[in-house]
Amino acid sequence: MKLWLSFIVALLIAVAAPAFGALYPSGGPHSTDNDDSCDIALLPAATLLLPYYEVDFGAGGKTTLFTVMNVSNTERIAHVTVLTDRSFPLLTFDLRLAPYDTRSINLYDVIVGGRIESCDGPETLSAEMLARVRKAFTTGIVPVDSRLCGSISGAGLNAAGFVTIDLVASCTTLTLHDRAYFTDAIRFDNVLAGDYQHVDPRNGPAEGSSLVHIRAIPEGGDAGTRAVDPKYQVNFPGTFYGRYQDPAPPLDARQPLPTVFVAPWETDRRAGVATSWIIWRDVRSRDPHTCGYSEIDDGRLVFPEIVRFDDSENAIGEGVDAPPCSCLPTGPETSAAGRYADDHFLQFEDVDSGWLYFNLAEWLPSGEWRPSDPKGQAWVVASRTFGSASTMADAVALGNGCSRPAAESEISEGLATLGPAPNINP
Amino acid sequence: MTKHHCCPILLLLIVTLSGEAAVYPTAGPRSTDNDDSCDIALLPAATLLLPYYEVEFGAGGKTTLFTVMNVSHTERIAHVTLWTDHRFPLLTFDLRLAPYDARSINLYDVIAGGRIESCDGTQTLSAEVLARLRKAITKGIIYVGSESCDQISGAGPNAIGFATIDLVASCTTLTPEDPAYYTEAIRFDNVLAGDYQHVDPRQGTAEGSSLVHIRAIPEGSDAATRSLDPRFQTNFPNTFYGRYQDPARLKLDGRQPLPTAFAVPWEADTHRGIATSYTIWHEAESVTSRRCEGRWVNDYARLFLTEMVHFDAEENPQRETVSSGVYYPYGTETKAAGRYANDLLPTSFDPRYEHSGWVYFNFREIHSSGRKAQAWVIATRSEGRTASARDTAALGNGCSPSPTPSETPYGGGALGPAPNVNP
Repeated sequence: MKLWLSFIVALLIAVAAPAFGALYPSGGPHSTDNDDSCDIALLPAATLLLPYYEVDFGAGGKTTLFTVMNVSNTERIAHVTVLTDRSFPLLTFDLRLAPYDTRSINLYDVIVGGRIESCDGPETLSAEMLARVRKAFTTGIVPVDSRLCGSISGAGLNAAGFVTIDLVASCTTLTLHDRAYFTDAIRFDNVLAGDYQHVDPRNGPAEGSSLVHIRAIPEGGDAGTRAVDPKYQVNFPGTFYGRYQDPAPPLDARQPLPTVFVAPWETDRRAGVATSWIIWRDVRSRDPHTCGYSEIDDGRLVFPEIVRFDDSENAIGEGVDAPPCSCLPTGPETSAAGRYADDHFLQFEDVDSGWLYFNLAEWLPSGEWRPSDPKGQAWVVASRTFGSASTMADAVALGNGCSRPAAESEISEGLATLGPAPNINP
Repeated sequence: MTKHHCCPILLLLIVTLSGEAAVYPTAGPRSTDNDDSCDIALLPAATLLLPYYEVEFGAGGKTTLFTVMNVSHTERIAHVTLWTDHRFPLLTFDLRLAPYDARSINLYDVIAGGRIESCDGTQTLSAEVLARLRKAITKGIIYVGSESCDQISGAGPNAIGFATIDLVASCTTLTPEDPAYYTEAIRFDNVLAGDYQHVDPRQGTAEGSSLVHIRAIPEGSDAATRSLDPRFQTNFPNTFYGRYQDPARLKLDGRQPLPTAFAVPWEADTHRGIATSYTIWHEAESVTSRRCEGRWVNDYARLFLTEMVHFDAEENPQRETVSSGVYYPYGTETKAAGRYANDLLPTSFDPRYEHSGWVYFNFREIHSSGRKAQAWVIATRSEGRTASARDTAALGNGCSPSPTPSETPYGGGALGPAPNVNP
């Protein structure tokens, strides 16, 4: 009996180990495998996020370009969803990517020119559709199912928002708001990579970064297979597209994004040095929009805590009290908060550098958090200008997307010590 | 009987797998914890890599600035090592970082002005040391003791190289080349973060990105404790600083290794003034190095690129590979490879007709010690007088086996992301 049992255990370990890769019982990391962590890294992914775009409707103005690569030897379809800054999916189109293909998209061509890619080649949107798109961006109003939906964008002069690019099985008209998108359309192979540029030909500077690479973990299979095969069980506490599937269990298996970020800031008006921020956010506990799309009341999100450090380690912070204080900065889901940090956040007087701490977790009235609670997601990009030149860098997260949300720090009269998230996640 | 044997085994598995962290025996990810993977991510780290700097000696010229933040509530020391483009450790200094401190360094101030930070405050290098530095950079010659070492840099008009910033226990004059650096100096807390900018005031251009954040895993403690406590065993096949350590004790630094293969979009259009250039940091093969008064110097300091495949927008590949024992001397160990893609790409591509695509870089190189090469690639897209830089996607993490040359008439694997399972 002993021998049989030992043999079975040994056999199980021998079979399981190669199937799932090396899992180390002690020390670290527990797994050295690819696509086996909650960390957002620059590795091929199943979803790419362009956290912010801005397009001037006039010719020769601001625009955003992005490039998508298929780094595999198989044809793939990438489904592009252009969302407004209030997360309304305004436009979708597909990119049929041949093996090792790359495709560059200028969003001016799409939003203003109406020239989109499709599985049948380039297409041009009708004048009626183009007018709808323009109206949606500039007035925030769009007709949906014979009704007029309002507040679906910030209604500015330019088109602004964010873009998601998902690996899908075949060309589709489904959107993120369709349950079938997650049961039939999306795929789970990490084979997409890409980057983007913000270009402002009138004023000169260009800035860019990599798209946010969000991996499907475990990789592979399709929704049907994954639902019945335990090896595809997803161990994340939440997923990137979880809010679109709530209350059903999320099927997308995409890594969740973090909620806490830090980045240096610098400002010197006389020298023409300034810092601005691009902030993408996702808050799950939203009231359903009257038109069936989820959005938060008046489309503005409270930043739960902002702490500004100067270069002498002095800190000022502001956190959310209950109920949220109206004096706290707010913004739409994705927002370039102006070209100067002091446009939006707490300021020191006569100080020109330091760093900023963003806690963008979802604010919970109870103050307590359980792994089953929504946590929110975010991405922060810092842009620094030097006269006519500009640079951009993603901010450093203080934990991965599986970390529990950070409590209000002692700097803002909370109790928590501000710093990297604990290593052990719930 | 069965119960007697099953329970201890199950208990052992449960204790082993859940004692320290959230580790899942099946499916994925097997760990959702922080600081528990081989993936290079933008998370606080124990070492920051500035993959490239360039400083002009004349005032108002090109320079590189970087910022280091201590994101913890404890004072920390960051040890900065400036290396030449031939990987010679030219200068070290320390930053004493108060809790939540941030420090910005302009490398012009350091290299041309001789103003460095130290644990005792700002110091100024003597004129003699500054002259020595300048000669080392512009002539490639330095005197170490009584011996003259040559070819320690690319000997150009500007200072070029890379910088490493390590968390250390206290201020030190040791460098990463000293074995004692790993047993006494470095620490393992992931609390540093930062970014950098390359600025060219004359041209009015700037470009920047985040420093490369290299985490110590497992995190915490000191070298002595870690060497005795199995909880701190490092499971990486090799580490970022493995090259500088006793081959029998290669992993004392506990730092994540960097990847080997990268995919980089390119765009080039001479009529519209669009070009792509690459900044490449690469750890060159150790067997070509020689020692000069205890310091490693690369004889040729070339960028050993095993394979480069250049795809155009129609997915047509142009490839160059390295036959056994022959290396293409694409550049020095760290170098901005020029402002135009065709500086590096096969001459059969003509940017007048081929405008976009992507490039596959494979820096595979098996060191004599069995370690594999490490690299980091940054792409800069310039259009007229504007430029933007970004890190590029790796096709595996630093624990992935080096990719073999891709499909050729003679065999090879399919070009693409590394397999998920690493040895």
